[in-house]
Amino acid sequence: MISRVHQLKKILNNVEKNVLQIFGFPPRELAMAYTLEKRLPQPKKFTIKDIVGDGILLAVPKFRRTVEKRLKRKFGSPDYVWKMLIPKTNIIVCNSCGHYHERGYICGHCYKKVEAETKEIQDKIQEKLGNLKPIENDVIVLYNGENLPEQPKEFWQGKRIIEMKKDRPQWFSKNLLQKSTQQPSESKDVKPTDLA
Amino acid sequence: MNRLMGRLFATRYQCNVQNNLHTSGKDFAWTKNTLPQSFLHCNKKIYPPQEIGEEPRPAFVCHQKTNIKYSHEKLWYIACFVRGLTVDEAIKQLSFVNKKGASFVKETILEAQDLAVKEHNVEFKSNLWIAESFSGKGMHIKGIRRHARGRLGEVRYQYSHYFVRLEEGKPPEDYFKRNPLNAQQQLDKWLDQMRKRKIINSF
Repeated sequence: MISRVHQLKKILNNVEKNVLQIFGFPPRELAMAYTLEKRLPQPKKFTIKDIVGDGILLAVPKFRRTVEKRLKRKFGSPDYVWKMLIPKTNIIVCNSCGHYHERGYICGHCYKKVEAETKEIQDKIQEKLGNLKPIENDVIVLYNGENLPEQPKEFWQGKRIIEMKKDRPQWFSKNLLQKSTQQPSESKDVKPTDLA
Repeated sequence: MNRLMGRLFATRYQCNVQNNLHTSGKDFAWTKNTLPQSFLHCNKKIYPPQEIGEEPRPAFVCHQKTNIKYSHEKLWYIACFVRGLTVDEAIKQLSFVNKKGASFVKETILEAQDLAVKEHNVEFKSNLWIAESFSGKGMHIKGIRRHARGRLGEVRYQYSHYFVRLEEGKPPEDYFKRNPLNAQQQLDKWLDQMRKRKIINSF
């Protein structure tokens, strides 16, 4: 009720002010001069508040981690994933070099020898034939003192032969390069050294 | 006279470098060495001579590897793995552990074995077992990474230390004291429990 009275009072004041303005009171000479500046639209500043909103929410733990949860995180579970490392029981000694390797896997030390030899052969192929890609025929590698197996000359047409200037390594037997897709031969006149 | 003056003004330096404080050139001379040192002091301890009836104290060697670029929590798993094993077994098993920390631990154990034979009067290098093995936190260098929506995250480049103590002799049968009871022991235990029972309010 009182607010209505104040509203009415305001209205009357405004009316009085406007009427007096029409009749030139207060005089125009006493008016304050100012320039109307046109405000350019400012680029809206990017603050953290735009993302977060008015209240800053930071993640905080709500409850203390129980010892069971801590242990589960640290050790895992024997039923699912056990996080602790278990000694392996499938490690055996390589018969040829004496180093350790897992059962069912190649001995790493022995394989390094194979790798080195392969690299040498590949370098030789690259040097002699220009490229390493298997085109259509595979490469026949011969070591010191080895001869091609007896075959008619047409057999060797197109086949690529590499001669390594060294002795055959002990572990590199001929039947390592035996083809699994080739049918076993029926002939009985094969020299023992040329088997496979 | 000349010789006397020469002797007076001669300078003879004796360099006893025990604490290698100044080996890392970048630090100032007055900064403290932040690397862990108290573990290695155990090596220098001199024990009094033992009595006649006393059991011979086994030889041991403490060794550490500091500032390994690896997390110390992850290194803890490997340190736990190696505890209580003989040195040979530990090295063999570590060669097949598929973790970065395994190579550091293996190097440390090999170095410690070497030291034991050379400096700590151990006769056979295979007659050692791992008595203590644990990891410690090294310095963590902080870096920043960005997330979505203008948020920043912290990246920790973690370093850790690894400590190992090798002792001479055979390792104990049950280092972790799991104490599994055999059949007879289990039966005896059960019988004891049964006999201890009391019927209340009886004679």
